[in-house]
Amino acid sequence: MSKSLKINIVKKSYPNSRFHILEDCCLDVKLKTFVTILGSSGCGKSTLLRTIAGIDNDYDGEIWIGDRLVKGPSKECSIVFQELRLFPWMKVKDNVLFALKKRKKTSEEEVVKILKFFDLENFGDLYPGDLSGGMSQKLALARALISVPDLLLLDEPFAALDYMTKMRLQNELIDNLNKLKTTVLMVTHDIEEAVFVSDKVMIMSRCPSKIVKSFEVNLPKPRDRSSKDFLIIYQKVLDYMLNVLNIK
Amino acid sequence: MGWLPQTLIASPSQIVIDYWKFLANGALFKHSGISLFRLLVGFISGSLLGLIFGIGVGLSKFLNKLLSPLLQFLAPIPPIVWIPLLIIFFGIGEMSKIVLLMVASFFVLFINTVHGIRSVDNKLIEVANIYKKSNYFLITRIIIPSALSNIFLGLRLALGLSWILLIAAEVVASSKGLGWLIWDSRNFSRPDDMFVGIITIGILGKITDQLLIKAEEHFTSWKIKFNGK
Repeated sequence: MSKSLKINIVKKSYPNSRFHILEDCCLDVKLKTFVTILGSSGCGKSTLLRTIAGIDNDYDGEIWIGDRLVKGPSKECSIVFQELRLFPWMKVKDNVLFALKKRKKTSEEEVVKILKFFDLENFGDLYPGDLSGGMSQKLALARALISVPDLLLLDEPFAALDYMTKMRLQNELIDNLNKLKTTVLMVTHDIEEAVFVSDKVMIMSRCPSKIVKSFEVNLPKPRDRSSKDFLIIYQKVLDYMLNVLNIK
Repeated sequence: MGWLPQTLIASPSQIVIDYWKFLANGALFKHSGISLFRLLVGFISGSLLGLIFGIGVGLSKFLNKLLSPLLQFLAPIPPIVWIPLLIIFFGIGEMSKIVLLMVASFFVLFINTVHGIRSVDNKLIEVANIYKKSNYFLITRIIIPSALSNIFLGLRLALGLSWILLIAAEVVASSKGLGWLIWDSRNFSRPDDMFVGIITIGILGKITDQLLIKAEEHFTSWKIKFNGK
């Protein structure tokens, strides 16, 4: 069951400091949509995801996933961290199995199924250290998706990959998420990526951060990166970032 | 080698012959057996205690506050100074030697285990917390595997130290064992017997260390290691 997300953070400070990272940060993610937040480094994107995931609860405001107020981590929300955080001493299949709450008879089958989904079924007995960057990325996604979350949070999932691998994984991600119909919130600083994968692109200001603008991307998926419509939206987002956020 | 007095040094051929003699009459097995027994009992029990205390102090702020001041005071004391005290307490029998090795192994394992646990990547712990894993899972599947390299380093250091202390203790107060054999041979000017003892310690030391290396390779096979150029 996919769920919507509603965020209203009045203020969120740096740890042990009165300086605010987030201020009046409000946004809605509708059911089964893919929303991306674009912003420069250090503007609080990862912090925002941590509050949604329930890891960081020290803020003024409210976050709702469906009709549940977020107070701590829950299995309905999965997060893929920027640095992946795979367990190097667990085999690929055990890294995925890790995300299931209780081991059942069907657990092994579920693991095989999700590994197949990401073309990793032949690598279940390897260790994460044996995998390429792209495969590790897919493994992190598999771990996040095996519990069938209502909401998926992605923290710059493809930032460390080369351009070709990144494009291929973006295509796969879109395919897979279309089948799963999960609500997704991604943060990134890559404009092309944002326009390619999302239904809505939101722009985050610099600290103290809030959402300053959002763009609807009403293009059918899968999208063509070199099509005119795609480039028009890309241009609009880029212009906004250059002019309004004063990045030159 | 005729110009060297035979009471001080033995020729290689004499050592080989003497070694064969020691093997044939079983004396070598007697001395090695008792030394290995003392070493393994002391090293294993001390390491186990060090590991348990290390895990406790590494995991718990409370235990850390409670035990660390005392342990940090005791740890830098060279284990060799315990020998006289242990002889007073336990006599010159097996117990004093075993307890000496226990004390030495304990501190090496304790320090390395605490360090290993405190070096666990907090980001991985956070992942386990998100998935609400039990403390048992956290300790056995995340914290200990992550600290395993440090624990094995501790084991190898403790083993080396145990050999040194064992021989020292056998020299000071014993009537059998490899350390005693070496010291007794020196007292009775039998350099060939002395070399039998020295060589045997080298062989056994190498074998025991190699066993630990193999065990470490087995348990940390997921690691991509730098094996030198």
